[in-house]
Amino acid sequence: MRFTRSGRTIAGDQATPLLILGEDAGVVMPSGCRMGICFGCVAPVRSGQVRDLRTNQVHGEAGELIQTCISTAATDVELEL
Amino acid sequence: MTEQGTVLMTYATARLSDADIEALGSELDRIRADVVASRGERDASYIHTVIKVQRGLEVGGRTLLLGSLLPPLWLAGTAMLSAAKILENMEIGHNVLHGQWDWMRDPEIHSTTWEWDLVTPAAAWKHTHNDLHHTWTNVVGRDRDIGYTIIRMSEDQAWRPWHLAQPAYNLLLAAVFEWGIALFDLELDDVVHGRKSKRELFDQVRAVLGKAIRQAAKDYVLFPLLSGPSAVPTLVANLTANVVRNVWAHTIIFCGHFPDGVEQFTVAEVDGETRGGWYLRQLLGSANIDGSRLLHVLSGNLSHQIEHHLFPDLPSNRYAEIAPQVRALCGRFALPYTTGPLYHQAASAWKRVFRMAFPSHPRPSHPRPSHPRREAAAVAPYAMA
Ligand code: FES
Repeated sequence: MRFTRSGRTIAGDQATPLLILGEDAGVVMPSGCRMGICFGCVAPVRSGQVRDLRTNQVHGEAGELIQTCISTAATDVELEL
Repeated sequence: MTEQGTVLMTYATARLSDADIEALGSELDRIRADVVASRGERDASYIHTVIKVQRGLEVGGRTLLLGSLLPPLWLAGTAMLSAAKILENMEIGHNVLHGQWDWMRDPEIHSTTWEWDLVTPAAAWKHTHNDLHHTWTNVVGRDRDIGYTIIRMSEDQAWRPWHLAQPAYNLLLAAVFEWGIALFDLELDDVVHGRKSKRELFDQVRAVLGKAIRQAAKDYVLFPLLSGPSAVPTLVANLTANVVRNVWAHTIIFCGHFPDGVEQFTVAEVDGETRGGWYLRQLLGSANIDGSRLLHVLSGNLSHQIEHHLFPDLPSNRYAEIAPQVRALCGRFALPYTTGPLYHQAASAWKRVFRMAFPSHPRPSHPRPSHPRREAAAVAPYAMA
């Protein structure tokens, strides 16, 4: 799991939302409701795929904006944060 | 809330066990997943059509107003511009800003890029509305939309003598609603109480002033000047369209959470609620408006406030389609599904404005089943750590 702008790389698990992984690693993560409804946490993916915790859908294309609070890593993920 | 209402709601809520609440939650998750899985061309073409109609109305209306010295042109132009503003703010702007159309991955129709024809900047509004109001729906003390900090809308809000005047100032608020919301979104009370820094406020004030100047320049200078001899009637028309939109938006929004039958909550009652509990609160805390397809579109589908609050990011054209399923679920779990025609819901909301103008006792607290997953859920309902 890599945060490209803050230049941090961490080894995260595949069950914890990216928002929490980022915050725990000290990255300044935008957020709001923390439950997938406000879109205050969206961030662009540079590479990798994420899983939507609500639907289990795996998605992610370069440049796609994902909600970090309800997404977990499905592969190695790079986020532009 | 009427006495009878209180008894009924308390009864309805208290009857559900934790297991029931979680079962309700999974049913609602399933409805959501079905819609997400089937989002596609049909939905995209819906929003594209609405945007096309809105642009047509706006261009047509503004064109007619170039000749607004002639009363029929003034009337038709003003009507078209009012409709355009209503569509832009409600069925398009509000819903785009909720991320309902983000899945199309169209940068033009996206929650992160849309700026609407309303004084308050989209970014400020997304914070107070998408985040605060939708997360804390109807929780007195946390949901600032319960009276926008100036109107007393709950027995649990402290009564102050100035509330006696609230029917009058709520009427005024309706006419200038977009300005009221812009001011409200600055969260001045948070600055006073030290929850928000002066620096942040300063940046926001700058953003809102910039937006306000652009909005006023467009409607009250540029387009009137373009109308030459029809400048004054054009200015009056633009002002009228803004007021019509303000009053309409205010009316629809007041019907969403204030009519009789809608439940309010205390902070203690939602302490550590689970995702199922959050769904239940959205259900009990919202009211729909019955009406025609046209009413649904013009209300931005906030006439399906219940469905919108359960699933704020699903495309608005789907709310009408899932409403029967949501209603059936309410039947199954013996929960109320509050709805009624516009005049009835609006009158009911106004009744509350009048009732709360006078002092009253806090309502009795609702007995709630306990939630075992409290602490974890309070931090992040989706954290599975
Ligand atoms: S924090 Fe609100 S959607 Fe992620």
